[in-house]
Amino acid sequence: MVQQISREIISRCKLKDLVAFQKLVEHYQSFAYTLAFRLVCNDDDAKDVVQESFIRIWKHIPEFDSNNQFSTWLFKIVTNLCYDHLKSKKRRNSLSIDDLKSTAFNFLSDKDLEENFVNQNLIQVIESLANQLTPKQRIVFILRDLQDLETDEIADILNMDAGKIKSNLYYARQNIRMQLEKMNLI
Amino acid sequence: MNCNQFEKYIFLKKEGLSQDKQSLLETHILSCNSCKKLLDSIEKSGNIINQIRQKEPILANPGLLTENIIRSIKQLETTKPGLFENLIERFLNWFFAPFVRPVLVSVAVFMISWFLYQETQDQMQIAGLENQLKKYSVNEYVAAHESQKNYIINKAAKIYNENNSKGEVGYLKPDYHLRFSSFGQIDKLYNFRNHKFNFRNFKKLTPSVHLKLFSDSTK
Repeated sequence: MVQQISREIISRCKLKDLVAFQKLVEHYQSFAYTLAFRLVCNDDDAKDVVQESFIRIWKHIPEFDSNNQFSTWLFKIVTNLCYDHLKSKKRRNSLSIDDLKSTAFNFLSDKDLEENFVNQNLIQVIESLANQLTPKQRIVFILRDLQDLETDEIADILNMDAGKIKSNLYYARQNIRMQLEKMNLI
Repeated sequence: MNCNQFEKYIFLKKEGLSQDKQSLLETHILSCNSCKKLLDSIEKSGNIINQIRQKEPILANPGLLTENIIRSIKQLETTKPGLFENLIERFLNWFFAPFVRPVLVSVAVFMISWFLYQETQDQMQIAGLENQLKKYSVNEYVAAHESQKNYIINKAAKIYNENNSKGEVGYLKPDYHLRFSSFGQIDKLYNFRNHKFNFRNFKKLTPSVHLKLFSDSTK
């Protein structure tokens, strides 16, 4: 669950107060990074997406309606940038099923992985599960099942009705179950 | 209901099912082994996904990322565009917005097709006329088509009387005009009088110019 920042900070950001904006960045950047990382599965690309998202927010924050949740707006921008990224980049999975199986197994059972190792293994695990999904299915799956957002919020972020979200989710989960079965994890 | 329909309920169980659907599913599971297996495997895969969710990616050196973001914004502020550049940027943002693109492309394709169609029609018409005109001198042609000429004079005079208050500026030579109208094109040229707008004909001459030139050529 994302902790919302105070309205006062948002109001100051709307007046282009850079100190307040720095506080806003510090508060939200890790949430934005987590989402971007899970979507694009690359550390540098995720950081680029986060940076670009906050620049866009700075440009358009005077137009932001303070009655809406800031995190939803942030996730919307991050998701849109990641969607463009996913569409432009052809993802590939060079690991065999056995390699993926052992990576996934080690990753899920080891609680004390080092920082780099966590990110590297997380990339492989998410890629191995979501590689076959379309960008839309992948985004819906990650927002719902990994980010744990509610369907209403996802509908808001993606400008999609709940029916379409459920249908994307259905195909995504079906596909992921097949991948897990191939790896003998279920 | 068959297993295929229950499969959707099973995959979307986490999203919440209505009470009716929930009880239908529970009853079905009791008697269907394959759906029960599917439900178990979905629950297992749900557990694995939960484990993946717990392992959040680690942002190494968050301070550096904040610093980079703030530095980029400072740079942006120092090179802030003026009002004119700002308007251009807003226009370009709007122009290249994803929802505008398909509309613009459709309009462009329609306009190009329409233009090409009109051009082709017009070129064919003019080529046909020019081929016929090559066979005659003006006088020969007028002599050979005296009755058509009379028809045109009568029609032109009638229209001229109706429109005598309009200003007249022309650029088409009277003899060419006469050739042109003598080939039965007069009705086409007058189409726009009856509110049937024809862009190419309208460009060539207006009704009053047409009449003036025609009456000049018959003096």
